[in-house]
Amino acid sequence: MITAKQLAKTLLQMSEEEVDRQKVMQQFFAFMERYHLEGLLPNVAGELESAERERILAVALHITTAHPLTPAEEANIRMSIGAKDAPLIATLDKELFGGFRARYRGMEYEGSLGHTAGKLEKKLMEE
Amino acid sequence: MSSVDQIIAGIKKKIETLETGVSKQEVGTVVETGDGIARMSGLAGVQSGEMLTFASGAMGIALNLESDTVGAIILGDAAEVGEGDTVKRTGKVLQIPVGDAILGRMVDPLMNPLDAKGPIAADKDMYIERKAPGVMAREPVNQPLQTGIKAIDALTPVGRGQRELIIGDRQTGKTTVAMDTILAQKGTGIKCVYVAIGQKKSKVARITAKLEEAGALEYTTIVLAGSSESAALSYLAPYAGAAVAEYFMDKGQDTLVIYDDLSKHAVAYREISLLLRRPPGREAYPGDVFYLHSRLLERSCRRNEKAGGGSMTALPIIETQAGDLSAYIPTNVISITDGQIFLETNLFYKGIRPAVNAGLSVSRVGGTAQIKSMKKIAGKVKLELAQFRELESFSQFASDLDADTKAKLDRGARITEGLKQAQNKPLPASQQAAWIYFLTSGAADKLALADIGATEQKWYQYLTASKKELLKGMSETWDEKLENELKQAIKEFQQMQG
Repeated sequence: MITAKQLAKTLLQMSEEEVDRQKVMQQFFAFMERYHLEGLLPNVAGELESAERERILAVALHITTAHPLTPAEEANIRMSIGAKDAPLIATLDKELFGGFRARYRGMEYEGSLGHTAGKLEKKLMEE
Repeated sequence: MSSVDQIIAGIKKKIETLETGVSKQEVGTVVETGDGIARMSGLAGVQSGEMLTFASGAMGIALNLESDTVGAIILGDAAEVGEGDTVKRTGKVLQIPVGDAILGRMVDPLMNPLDAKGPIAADKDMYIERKAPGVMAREPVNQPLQTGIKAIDALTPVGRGQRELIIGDRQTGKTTVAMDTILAQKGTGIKCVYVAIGQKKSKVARITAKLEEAGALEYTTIVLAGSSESAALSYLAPYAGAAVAEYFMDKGQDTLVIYDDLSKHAVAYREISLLLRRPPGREAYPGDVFYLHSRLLERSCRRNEKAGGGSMTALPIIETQAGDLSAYIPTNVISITDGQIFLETNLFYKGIRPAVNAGLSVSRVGGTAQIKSMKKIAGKVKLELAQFRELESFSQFASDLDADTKAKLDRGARITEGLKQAQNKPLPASQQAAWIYFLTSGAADKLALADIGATEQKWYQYLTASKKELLKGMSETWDEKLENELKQAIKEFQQMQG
């Protein structure tokens, strides 16, 4: 049985491979009509939105700071990580105390004061 | 400088040497979790079998490396891992802390104590998965490992470094054979590891109590992944047990590992593999279920001095269904091991315990793993039992039997009766050999079947009271002189009995 998720995934793949997006859409709707799958269109739209959100999350730069991020700080972090044009998702976490924690393309960059304080505590406890 | 100033100076120095700056680490995100399995996105550089750390502090092992996700089993509480959690690589393969203090303890596969006797001091970390010793590091198996069970030591002897499978239906005495083998190692210096996979905790508690009562717990470690534990722990348990044994083997010591049982181990692995969406094969087991057991059992061997010496003997246990030896997992493990001890249900219910089917049981190491006296004496008992088996079914139909056939049947019945043994009562090899000689020499031919057991106990009492030197000689060698002495002892014993 064909699911909305499979249809959405196939549509995305086809649109990446084919230059003419209109042609892809026409083929897609023709397929849906032929097999009486029009009822799944709302679900397919939902799956496409979900896929787009995941794509943005995957390529976005996530920065967590203890205080609101200034444009200069943001530019600095982007330059050091190499995420010049990535969409930004900024969050606040007071437990960092200072500095930042960033995630971009599967790598986590830890530069928070909270993390450094934790390292110091561990080092002192070992003594 | 006052002491406070010294402390402040020390702390300042530590702060100066502290590395600050931004650290970089590969992370992933949990996209799906459930049934002890987590699926993650990211972690592009993760290696197969690598340890992962979840945000909750739980650990996992990466098993499936797919194009867009990584599948891992969760060790610890799977309920703590949720969708969206961050996962970090550790860069390490699973290791467990092991030390001499592990003896006498009950632990889980991650070496967490389960016996409320406090933490365990570890000497080193051992890899759970380790490559089996190569061909050149091995030595032939020619030293006996006594199980203390007459039927096994005489008919299917086990050597140090051998893999001998114990196979049979439920409730046929498989675990009892394994327990008696552990009890028989008292005073030999052999370290034992009992791995309980998917077993009831009440059963393991009974086993622990028995071992403690017999003074065997001091040289035994129990690795438990109970039936209420996750499939991940059941999957790891045998490898953890092997790692514990390898710790002692690396010190040049002899070890014994019992895997009870590998059928449940295969079922746990099947569960994990199906949850990880690995393609099912025969009986829904994954395609590498043979490798699951072969890489475990190949770690058991006898090592030469150059490789460090020591040995690891394995007694894996397999439970069959309705005596079917030709099923998938049993045939897999039979083809890996160096022999099998087949325990049969109908023998068990006939009162023949241990219910060893001598016809289907075999030891591929054979006589090289027997003391000299037993090797000479047991050869005759094997032949007589084989003849008895052949004639037994024939005798049920034939009314008039010739004298020779009748004699063979009587002798076989007496040997079968004589090989019965109570559980948890292992016997020294020399006493076993002396009793088997008593049976095969015809000394028991005139005894009623019901008197065989009592006669056996009296024979042992006589030997231990009056023939200590003879027993000592038999445990070391066998020659005509000893045989004559034994014949003389039988005569004297028979005269005493009247």
